[in-house]
Amino acid sequence: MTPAHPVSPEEVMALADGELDPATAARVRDHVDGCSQCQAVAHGFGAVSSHLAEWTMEPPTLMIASPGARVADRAASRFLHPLVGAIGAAAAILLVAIYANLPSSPAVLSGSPNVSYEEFVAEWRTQPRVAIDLPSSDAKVTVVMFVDWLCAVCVRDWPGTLDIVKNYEHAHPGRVRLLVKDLPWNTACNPTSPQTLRGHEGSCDAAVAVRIADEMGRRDDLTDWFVANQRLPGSAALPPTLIRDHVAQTLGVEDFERRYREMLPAVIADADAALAAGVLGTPHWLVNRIHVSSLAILDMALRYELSQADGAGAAPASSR
Amino acid sequence: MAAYAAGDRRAFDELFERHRAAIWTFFRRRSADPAAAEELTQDTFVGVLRAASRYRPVGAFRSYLFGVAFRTLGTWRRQRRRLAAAHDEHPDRVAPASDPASVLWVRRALAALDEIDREVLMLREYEQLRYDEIASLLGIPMNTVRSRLFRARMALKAQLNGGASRRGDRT
Repeated sequence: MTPAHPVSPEEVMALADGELDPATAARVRDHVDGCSQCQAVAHGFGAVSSHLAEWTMEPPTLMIASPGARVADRAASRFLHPLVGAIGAAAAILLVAIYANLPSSPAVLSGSPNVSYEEFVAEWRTQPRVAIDLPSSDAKVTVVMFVDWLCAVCVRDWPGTLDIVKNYEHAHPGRVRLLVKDLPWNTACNPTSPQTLRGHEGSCDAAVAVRIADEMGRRDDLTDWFVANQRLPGSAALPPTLIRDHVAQTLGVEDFERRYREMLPAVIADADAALAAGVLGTPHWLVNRIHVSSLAILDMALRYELSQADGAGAAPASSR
Repeated sequence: MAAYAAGDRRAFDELFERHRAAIWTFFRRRSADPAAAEELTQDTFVGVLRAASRYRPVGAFRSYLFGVAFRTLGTWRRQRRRLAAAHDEHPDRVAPASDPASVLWVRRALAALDEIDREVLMLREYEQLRYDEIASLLGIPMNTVRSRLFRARMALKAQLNGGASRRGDRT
């Protein structure tokens, strides 16, 4: 505030924000109306707001279920989740107990997401399809899963992903395919990662190891090993040497280093593709190029996409 | 909330549907990982459910909800700092290359601000909270909200004026 400006720039800002009491607002407005400098100040704030408004967010990409049943569902999954441990289990029990005392307690026991297929479809139809190069195929539905084999959540969700895809493959032979793409949190094979995360020192070796196993038709053997040896909180991660030793012992691969150098560019290409597609975390899925960040909706996504390909309603493949 | 506490489950579902997108975007702007944003959104509504019986209708529900969301965010950030490696939670990555240059500019400009200034600005610009709501949420005086908001906007204005010619170069 100066003699020439009986109002402060902060007051000009607050006026524009509608945050002044009526008397102060009238006083500030009287001045601003006749002061080009203060009008410029207000205009400058408006320009800042306009630029900030350019950062828009996509609508929720996930079916965040209505709270009641989903609370129970999450509590149950936490209770069962091997990573959570005793503290998490206690919290889960507490959550179930809390929810059980609320008015909608019957839904707690159902354990099913409280999102109907129709609700899912209504939201799914609004999702954009991303651009990503994928090998051509006759399959009508392509599921791409981005993984880091040393990411505990990835290996937790891997068996569930296989189950869902295999169920639909069984019901709709040749119409569903699963592609696995690497997104290791290790700068040696993922230049888009800001750093090699602790516990992910072997992620590049793991990515190459699974590729080698896949070539030999032994992918599931190796991924089962990663699932069985997933890192628990406080425990050591699988080091690169252990991964290489395991591959040598179980798959008979003696020239891992040479294969590593051969396959590294393909791993890097996967990470680049992930970045280009806007994939920011693992695990992550694309179903016919639509983002899916939770295993919880993968089944419905496949069901819907198949129904569209068939021109009719596709029955859910899973009896689970 | 009162209706829900009285046994009307649909009342909460309505609140959820009305506010879930706002809470999702609140977390999405503060986490590069959509899955984390989903988790935090759910945690927020879980928090509201847990406190349903204690809820007192003073002030707008939206303000109350953002208060729960902000506390959830604080807890998550502390946990993430402490257990990031053990739980495979990844630090925020740089914006994807496909982001428009203007969005990259916004994210970088916000990242350059003091942490509290940034929160004040984001709560005002994106969540459209009033000064008194921001003050209550952050636990700071309302005059401080105003001065920090002013400082943050001036900083962005200076960046805008000084960097406009370079914005188009960013990819």
